[in-house]
Amino acid sequence: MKKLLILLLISSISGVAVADKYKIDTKGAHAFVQFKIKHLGYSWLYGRFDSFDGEFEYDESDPSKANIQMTVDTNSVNSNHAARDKHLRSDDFLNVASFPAASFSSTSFSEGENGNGTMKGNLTLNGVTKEVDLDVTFVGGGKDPWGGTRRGYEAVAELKLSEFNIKKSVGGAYEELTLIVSVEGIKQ
Amino acid sequence: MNKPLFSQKHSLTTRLLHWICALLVVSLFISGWFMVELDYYSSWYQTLPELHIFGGTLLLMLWAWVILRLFLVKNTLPELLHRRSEAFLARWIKRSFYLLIITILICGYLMATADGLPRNLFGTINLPPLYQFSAVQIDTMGWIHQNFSYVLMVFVCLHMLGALKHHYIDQDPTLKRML
Repeated sequence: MKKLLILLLISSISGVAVADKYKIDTKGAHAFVQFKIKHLGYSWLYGRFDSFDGEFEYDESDPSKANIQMTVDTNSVNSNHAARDKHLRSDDFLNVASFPAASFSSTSFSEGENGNGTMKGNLTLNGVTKEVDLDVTFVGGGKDPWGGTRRGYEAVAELKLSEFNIKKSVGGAYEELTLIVSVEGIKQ
Repeated sequence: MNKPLFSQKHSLTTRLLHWICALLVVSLFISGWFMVELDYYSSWYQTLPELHIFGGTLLLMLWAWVILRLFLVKNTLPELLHRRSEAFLARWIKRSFYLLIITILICGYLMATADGLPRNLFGTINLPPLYQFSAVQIDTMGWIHQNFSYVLMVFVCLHMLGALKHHYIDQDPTLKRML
């Protein structure tokens, strides 16, 4: 009985210490890195990055330890218009020849109600690293029908192009970009 | 003795093709140069690239004809007594014209249709896409399209200098044959 108690104690401690690790489901394309920016101030232009990778950790008993790392292949920018995408890849915007990757690495997470919260972290884009706040919405989590466990979030951040030294940023309202990252992680 | 040699000209088709293509090549270079520098809010931002692609398509058809004529139409004009080094230079510059222009045109066409959808010009012409390309492929074609054009312009200048030299210094009919 004593042994069993000790065993239970150890397992519960180790359970606290080790958070669940989730790999972002890019293989099944259940994750999206999207952005929207105003065109002429008249409408929203949506685009996305087709190639990226990342993982996050979440521990239900200590959500403040939640963290995420993501890397985005800037070459994969896709706004459904080949000529515009070519311009977006040039040094007027993403400068992919010099900076083929953009990344986000979280530094802290404060969970509010219903699993939502704010995640702070460092976003590296166009070679410039800035701290940004992501407004995180918990979408859902649990068992999937194929024997795995999944957990999904959507995060929104507002960026100013000029803060990332993007050459064609014009200032004012036209340079405010909304980044929308929607992820589903598969528990490892 | 020299008289008939001086009065002979290239065929009308050759001369027309030469000057139309020359005009197109130079205007395409200038329009290409300008259109990438245009401000987004310029009223030319939409029309100049469309005109550039239209001109390029026209040149592509004419240039295909020019290349076909290399194999199908024999030059019957008597050889002018040029220096061997000059003939050699002229021949290689001409060969590089054929190669550079066709490469630039093909890259341009493939880039204009890289969405994998027909490229519409002026609401009437549809350029059919041949293939949908990846980002890296499109950027590589863009690099070739731009840098080959600079090289082409250097060769165009050499070609023009050569023609003027024959006309004014050597005073031979090289240029007159093409007029």
